[in-house]
This record gives sequence, C-alpha cells and structure tokens, in this order.
Amino acid sequence: MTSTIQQPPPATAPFPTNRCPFDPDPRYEGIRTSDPVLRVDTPAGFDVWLVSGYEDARTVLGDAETFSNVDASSSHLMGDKDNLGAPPPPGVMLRHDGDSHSRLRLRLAREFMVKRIARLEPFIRDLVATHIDRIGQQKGPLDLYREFALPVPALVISEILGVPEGQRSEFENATASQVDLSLPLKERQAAAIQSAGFFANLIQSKQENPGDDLLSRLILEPTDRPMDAAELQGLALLLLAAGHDTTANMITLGTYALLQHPDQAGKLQNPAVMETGVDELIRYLTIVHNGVLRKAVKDTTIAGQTIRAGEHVAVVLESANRDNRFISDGDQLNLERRSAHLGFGYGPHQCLGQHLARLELRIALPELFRRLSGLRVETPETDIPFKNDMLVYGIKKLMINWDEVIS
Amino acid sequence: MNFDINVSKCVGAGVCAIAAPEIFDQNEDDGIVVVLNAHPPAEQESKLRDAAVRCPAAVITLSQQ
Ligand code: HEM
Ligand code: SF4
Repeated sequence: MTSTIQQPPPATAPFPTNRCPFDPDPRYEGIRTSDPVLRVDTPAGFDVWLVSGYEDARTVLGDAETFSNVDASSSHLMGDKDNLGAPPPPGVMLRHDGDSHSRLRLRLAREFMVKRIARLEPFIRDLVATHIDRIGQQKGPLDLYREFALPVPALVISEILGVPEGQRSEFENATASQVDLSLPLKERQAAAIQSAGFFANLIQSKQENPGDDLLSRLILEPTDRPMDAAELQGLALLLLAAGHDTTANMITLGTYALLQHPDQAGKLQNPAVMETGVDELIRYLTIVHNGVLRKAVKDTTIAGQTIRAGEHVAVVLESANRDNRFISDGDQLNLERRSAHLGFGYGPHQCLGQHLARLELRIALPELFRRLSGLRVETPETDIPFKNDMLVYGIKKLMINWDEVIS
Repeated sequence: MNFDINVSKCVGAGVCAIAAPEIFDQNEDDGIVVVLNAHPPAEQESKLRDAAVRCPAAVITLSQQ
C-alpha cells in the first residue's frame, strides 16, 4: 500500500542569515526548541529539513549509514537542484560514503594527525612572523584578510602539498582570486580553472620527480589500490577548498571578535588558555554556517519527525553550538571553556584538517595581537562587509590599523 | 573508570589524543587510535569523558568499575 503524506508548506529558510555579527541568526533561538526539524525552502530550489538542536545534529552527522554525503554539503545554498544525485568526483572525500570514504580518509588521517601537524610549527611561526613584518613595513590602514589571513594558510597548504618555492606566488594568486568576491564571477571561474591546471601540472611533476610531501607519499606509498591522477587532483582541490578560506575567515573574524572582547583578547598570550581557546572561538563563531547538507538514504525519525529516503537534511552547526541544552551561557565567548562543539562537524566527515587549523590559529592570533601594538579596526561595524550570504562566514575586508610593530 | 573502544570504527581524527593525551595516542602508520593506558587513574576521568563525548565516531564508551 502506498500512502501519501500530507506535508505542510515549507517555511522560509533563514538564508541568507542575518548574523549579529557573531551570533547565529536570531530566528534559530526559537526554531531550535519549537521546530527542531523544520521543513524549509532553499535558494537552490528544493526543500530541506533544517536540524538546529545540538543532540539532533550529532544524531544526523553521526549516522552516516542513514545520511549520505553524496550531494555537496552546500548544494542547498550554492547549488542547483538539477545537480543533485550526481556521482561524487574522485578523491573528494567529503562527498564519498562508506568504504569509499574511509579508504580515502584513513589514507590521509596520518598526514593530519596531531604529531605530524606539530612538525609544521616552526614553518608556520616563520610564515606568520614574515607576514607581520611585511604589514609593519606598510602604512595602515590595510586589509587583514588580503595581506595576512589569505596568504598564510595558502602557503601552509602549498608546503604540505609540496608546491615548489618558485611557484608559490602563482599558487597564492590563483587561490586568492578564487575566493575574492570583489572580482566578477568570470574572473573567479578563470582562477578556479587556473588552479585546477596548476594541480594537474603539480601532480604530473610529483609522479615524475617525487619529493618529501603529501602528494609524493600518496603516489609512492605501496598499496593495493594506488590513487590515480584524477583522485589526487580531487583531493588537492578539496584540501584547498576546505582548508584555505575557512582558516582565513577564522583569522579575520577571530581578530575582529577578539577586538570586540578585550577581556578575552587579554588571555591570548597565555599558552594554557590557548589550548582550549581556539576551539572556543571556533564554537562561538561557527563559520561553516547555514547548514551542512545530508541526504537520507532510508526512512528515519529525528526528534519525532519522519524523514523519508531521498529527502535532504541541513544541519545548522551555528545553532547547535549555542544550544543551551548543550552549553550554558553559549552566547558568551569564554576562551577558558572546554566543549564538545560541532564547529568542525561531527561523525566520520568531521574536519580532517582540524589539528592544522588549531595550530595555525594558535600561532597567528596571539602573534597579531602581541606584535601589532594598538591593533584596531577603524571602520564602524555597520560598514564591515560580513559574509552572511556565503557558505563560510567571515569578513570580506577588514581594514586594520596599529601604532607600532613589536619584534 | 574503564572504557571500551571499537577500533574498527575509528576514523583517526585524533580528537581523543588532544582531549586525553595521557590515555590516547595515534598510530604513526594510519592515524588510528592507540590506547596508552587502559586503566586511567581517577583524576583523569574528566579528560576521558571529554574524549568519549568528542570522538566523532563515538567509538569510546565508558564503563563503570
Ligand atoms: C578553522 C578552520 C576550519 C573549519 C571551521 C573547518 C570546518 C569543517 C567542517 C564543519 C567540516 C565538515 C563538513 C561536513 O560535515 O559537511 C570539515 C570537513 C573537512 N575539512 Fe575542515 N575546517 C577548517 C580547516 C580545515 C583545514 C585547514 C583543512 C585541511 C587542509 C580542512 C580539511 C577538511 C576536509 C578534507 C574535510 C572533509 C573530511 C571528510 O569528508 O572526511 N579543514 N571542515
Ligand atoms: S577521537 Fe575517536 S575516531 Fe578519532 S582517533 Fe580517537 S578514537 Fe579514533
């Protein structure tokens, strides 16, 4: 017997959000308790179930057997409903499920484990120092996003991937233009094609001349199923897409948030606090916002709501991370607190690069505040371009000024 | 406080290793969890709990005694 389920018309989704500027869209506070699983329409033209409470978010993200990643996490925001269900590109682990995902993930896990990432510390310290020196040689105000927040993580990824010294500025330019919203779409697309071409060449050169880097190790490593060029390229592009602008936005938005919370900024130079401090900033700011998308592959129930196979669910991390059933005073920034926040996601797809992101932020933020004495933003808040409409939240341009650069 | 661990479901995220470094580490070869101390002392209980709730694959389960 087939039954037709009558569904109420979808509510209007809170996209683009209206963050204020560090808090989630205020509508979530009510939605989270009154409609924890709410049917909404989306800019991409299909309806999704919005999951906004902490426990429900963990349930969905932790159950990869019911909730598939086949459709990109952002399809409801940037995508087009005609692209749904397309097979995942090779190497892009975020879109693979089950064994296909874990094969890629476990292959990469050791490269991103805490101990391995810790070896990058001297390199990152040096990079941060050089970029602050360069800021000091210029006259303020200047854009922190462009002059510091974008280049530092781009150069860290190029070190990991083994981009040769002489090609790093080409790499940096292509990747910066890709995310620069002040450029017309055409130019951004051209930059994306440029970085795809860049990676194709890089992979070919690693195949011919392997070095001591991630791509070479993936090529050389003896395994029963070696990664081919297409997989390596998908992986390299994913690492860049997932690791570059996220970290850059955390640096820019994190700096602004700390300037607005001087009591917290005062704790930045205390290494013991910074062991948890970065995670608290990631929770408080939850830059991967507007929902990460999953597709139910079987019927299930979340918070009493039936979800049918084939329907999509968008898990709103920024709402879950303020849920007072999970955290008290969640609207306060307190660098000394420890929490099981969802800012890096949860479940088998939880951020692969999280230890790298933590290390970069643990170095960059305290150094910016220590070395740029009198660091400030002179733009009134209403004129700061926040990325409410974007997949990853942040600030498009943050003009900073300072009094003196300390060595 | 003791715990069980289902290593076959570990995704090598290493959250346990930062939450409770005295108890968990990761294997250099594949990033999979390595238990350093299967019977952590009572004063490490809060770290063990933290690791269990933060493990993204929910493979660490606490048991009494
Ligand atoms: C503060 C910075 C970062 C934040 C907030 C962040 C956040 C996230 C989130 C929320 C997810 C899960 C998405 C989903 O479930 O749909 C994710 C996945 C991922 N992230 Fe990050 N990320 C950051 C930095 C990085 C860095 C530096 C890298 C690597 C260079 C990276 C690589 C990845 C990869 C490869 C995945 C997919 C993992 C999988 O599918 O198994 N991320 N990240
Ligand atoms: S946190 Fe969980 S998944 Fe990650 S390494 Fe530890 S046991 Fe494995």
